[in-house]
Order: sequence, then C-alpha cells, then structure tokens
Amino acid sequence: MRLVRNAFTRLSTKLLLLFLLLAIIPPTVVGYLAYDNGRRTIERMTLNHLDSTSRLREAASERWIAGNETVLESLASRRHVAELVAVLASNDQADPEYRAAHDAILQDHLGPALEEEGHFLELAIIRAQDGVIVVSSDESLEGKYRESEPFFVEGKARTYVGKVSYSLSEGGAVMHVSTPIHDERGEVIGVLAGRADPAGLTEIMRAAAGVSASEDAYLVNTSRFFVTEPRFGEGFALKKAIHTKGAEACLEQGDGMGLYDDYRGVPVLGTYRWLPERELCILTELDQAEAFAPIVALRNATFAAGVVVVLCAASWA
Amino acid sequence: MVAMLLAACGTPQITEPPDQITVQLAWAHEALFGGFYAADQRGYYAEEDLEVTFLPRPGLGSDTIAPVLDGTADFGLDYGAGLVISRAQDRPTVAIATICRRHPLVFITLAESGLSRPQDLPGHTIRTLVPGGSASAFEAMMTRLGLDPESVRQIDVGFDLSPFFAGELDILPGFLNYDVLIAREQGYEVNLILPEDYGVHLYGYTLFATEQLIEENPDLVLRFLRATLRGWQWAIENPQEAGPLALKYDSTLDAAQQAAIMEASVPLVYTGEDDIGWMRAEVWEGMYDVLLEQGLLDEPFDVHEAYTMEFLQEIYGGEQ
Repeated sequence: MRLVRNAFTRLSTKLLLLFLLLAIIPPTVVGYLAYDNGRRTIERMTLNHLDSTSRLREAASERWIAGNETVLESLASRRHVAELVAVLASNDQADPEYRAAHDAILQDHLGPALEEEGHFLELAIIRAQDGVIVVSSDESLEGKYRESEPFFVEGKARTYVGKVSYSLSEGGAVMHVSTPIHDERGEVIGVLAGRADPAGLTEIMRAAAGVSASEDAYLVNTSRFFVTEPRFGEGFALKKAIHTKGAEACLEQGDGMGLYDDYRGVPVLGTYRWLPERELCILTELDQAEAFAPIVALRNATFAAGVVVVLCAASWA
Repeated sequence: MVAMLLAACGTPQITEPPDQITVQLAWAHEALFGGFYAADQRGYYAEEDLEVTFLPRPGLGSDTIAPVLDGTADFGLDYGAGLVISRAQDRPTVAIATICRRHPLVFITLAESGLSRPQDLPGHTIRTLVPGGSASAFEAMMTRLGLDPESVRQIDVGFDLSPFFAGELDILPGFLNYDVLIAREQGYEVNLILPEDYGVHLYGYTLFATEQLIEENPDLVLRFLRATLRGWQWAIENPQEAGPLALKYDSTLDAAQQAAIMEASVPLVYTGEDDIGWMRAEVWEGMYDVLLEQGLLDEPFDVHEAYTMEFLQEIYGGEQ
C-alpha cells in the first residue's frame, strides 16, 4: 500500500514538474522572441523617426539661413541703398552729405529691416575699399575694421554665410551673413553684413521634439565643439567638445544611425548627418530608456505574470 | 626545463625613461598656461612618453627666447610679434602653434571717461607701453587711423592699477583675461579698445622651438604638441577645473581667480573658426607688415619661415 502511495507521489511530482516546464518554457521562449522582435521594431521605427526629424531640422536650418540671405540680398539690391552707400564711399565723414546718407540708411533701411525681419541682432554696411564699418545698427561698432574677416572678404564677391564663431568685439558667439552692394556700374562699393543670433539655430534644433522627454538635436563643428546648445546643457556652444561614436562617425563626413552613449554618457538611439555646405554635423538622439520603455514594461509584466503562475503552481503542489 | 622556468618567471622589461622636456613660459605661473598644466597633470604628456618641466619667466624684461636658443628649454612661449622680431634678428626660432589665436591685449578706459575709440585718446595719458608688445599694437592702431601715437602721453605707474581706478591715468594697456577681470571684480565699468577692431591682428602666446630641434627630432615635437593641444582642449572644456591647476606650481595663487582667468581665456584660445593652435598665413603677414612699418625689423625676410604648419597638419590633417 505504502509502495503504491509513494509511486503515486513521485508520479504526481513528476507530472507537476512536467506541467510547470510546459507552462514556463514555451511562453518564455515565445515571450523572449516577441520581446526581441518588439525591441528591434521599436529600434527601427525610432531611428527612422529620428532620421526624419533630423531631415526636418536640417531643412528648417537651411530655411533660416536662406531667409537671412534673402533679407540681406533684398536690402542690398535696393537702388536707394546703393546710392547712399556710394555717398559714404566717396565723401568724408565730416561732410553733411555723408551724415545724411548715414542716417537715411539707418532709418529707412537697416532699422526697419531689423525690426520687421527679426532675424538679425545687428546689420552693418562695410566700406569695400578698406573694410571699415560705416553704418551699423549698433553705433559702437562704427569705425571698426573688418577687413580681414571672411564675411567681408568673401562677402565682396558673393552672398556668404560664416561659421558660428566667438567675437571679442561683439562679446559672444555670432554668425555673420554678408552680401555685396554694387553701384550702378556693377562695381562693389560695400558689403552688407548681418549678425545672426546662433540661438536661432538652437531653437530650430529644439523644436519638433514633440512630447518626448529626451529627444535631443544639436549641431557640432569640425573641431568637435557644440555649435548649438544641446537639450541637457547650457553654455556648451563653442565651449564643450563631443567625442561620442555618433559625432566621430559623422565628422568622418558620413551619415548613419545607431546605438551609442551620448555626450552625457547616457545610452541613446541616434542618427547623424553631415552637412557639407555648412561643414557641420547634425545629431538627433533619443534616450534608449524612453524609446524602449513600452517593450521593457511589457517584458516586466510578462515576467511578473510568469512568476505569479509558478508561485501559484508551487503552492498548489 | 630551465628555459621554461625562465620563461614562466618572465624576463624583466627594459623600459626607456620618458623624454625630458623643458618649457619656457612667457610669464609667471598663472592659469594663462592652463592647457599645459592640464596636459601635465592629466597625464597627456606621460601618454606621449614625456616628462615636462615648466620654467616661469623670471621677470618682465627677461627674454623668453634666449633659454630656448641656449638649450635651457626645448620649447618656449612668446607673442607672435616677438617671434617675428626674433626671426628678423637671425635667431632660428620657428612657431609650431599659436595658443592665443586672439591677442589678449586691450586698451582699457573707465566707462565714465567716455573714451571708447582710438580717436578719443589723443591728449590723454597711458601707462608705459612695452616696445615690441603693447607699443607696437598701439602705434599700429593709431597710425592706421591717421592719429599720432605721440599724442598720448605715457606715464610710468608700474603694475599698480590704483592710479587708473582713481582717474589719474586714462588708458590702461592690459589683458582681457587679467586686468579687465580685476577692474570688473572691483566694480568698475570699462570700455575696451581692441587693436584687432582697427586692423591690427596679432597672435598672443605662441609655442615655438628651434629649427634644429624640429629638424633633428620632429617626433618629439609632434608628441609634445599633440599632448599640449589635448591639454588645451580639456582646459577649454573645463575652465573652472583647469584654472586652479596652476596652484601645483605656485601655491600662493588664488584658485577662484585662476579659474576666472582660465574662463576669460577660452575665447582667446578657441574662437570657433579653426582648430586649437591653428595658424593662418595672413595673420603672420599682417604682424610682419606692422613691425616692418614701425622699423622694428632689422631687415626684410620671408615671414613664412617664422612658423611651420607641419605638426598642426599632422595632428588635425590638412588645410582648414
């Protein structure tokens, strides 16, 4: 009798173990495959999303720059502006005509453009012959030389967009855009230069993040320094360099995407694009924790349910 | 068996001692040299198998080029204009990188004085100018604007800033990363007249070596420069930490002030236009023209011999 009871006990234990294994292993395998597949899907979809927003930001940056160029080209092509600049180029500063032309440029052209367009912090006209600022919306800059600045040298020949750089004179990071002013014979008599606020680029980078708590986008120059402020840092522009895998790959003048640690050391999903015209990289990233949160939550819930089943089965046994 | 035992025990590794390098600084120990200190204390020199000693400049009148020429130091720091003058005197120095791409020299006036442009300066007083340094920049700036440099009277007040703050001295030739900080720290509003705003473009502290060292040991120069630029990159990214590194060499310095000096030096070293240390031919040509016009060069020469881009190009790769 005892033998029969023992045999029954062993059999029931074995059956229980078998049922437990059958209950745990297939769901675990299926769960893992579902999790892995889900994670890959999320990764692919997130990277595609980041790539799309990166392209949107690139397009918005280009529109911002093109808008600045258009404002300047439109101003420089006004016949009245050219006539007034010709007066400045051919008269002495002490002449009444010079003063009248100076004031007219400021009041009728540069001032209204500065107020209406809102793209520039300052607008100035630089005399072509010697690189001296003859009119500026910031009076303290008048009389200063810009003869060796690329925005003057290049701006005599074509519309030019400068790098974001630090100006001691202007006391901060600036981005100059410039375009030539021609007289009626087509001679270059001056350069119209605008000081754009690089914060405009930061705004563009920060826009389009939607409701995401961690989506970040920023520009990096060829010296590996931030050009715009990243989401999780202030005072980074031209002061902090970046050495992430994404930035390094982009500065090899490549486009791509992947998983790596960002400038904070936080694992992110990221895309990077090289902008050859500007010699800049645009990086768009999202924390992996945020991207994978739904699938991680599902994994945890499944695991918890599995543990409950096992515990119930064990207690029943 | 014996051979196997010997192999197991391992033969002692013979390691070469690091190369000993001496650098002649252009001033007393200060955060102005924060990048060098960072390269030293963060082990960048050690990674390049270098052991570096810094020599502070003994005094204002002392020559920082002579110790490099006589072999006391391997590398030195001097102003770009100083190196052009040196070269004109047939001293075989060659600049390998400029640390301060923007010269910190500025002519400071009190805001309440209303002196804000060079045109306002004639008839006023200025602290004694240093020949080949602030004197060259001042003369070039005034001459360029058609103003007489002699129209400003020089007064010897030493390094005491109180006559300037008291209004007894109108113009203070000083440094953006030192005197301006002190003035603002003491609550004075100041106007800054920058020579570069009036067409005078000068390099500040510039790293140089002798022709002989560059020819005979280019690898040493490359390793030293690579580690130094790494140090500067770190210092720019971490000015508040880099400034106080100077205290290791002079414990009497004030850590907060050194941090402020380093912070103010950042836009002089990294401007956003080129990589740290990068030099441009047109700036060397401009410095040469200024010095030639002022009769400070013994004889004309090819200024492009005063510097080499060989090592910067090796480190950063190609043109910028």
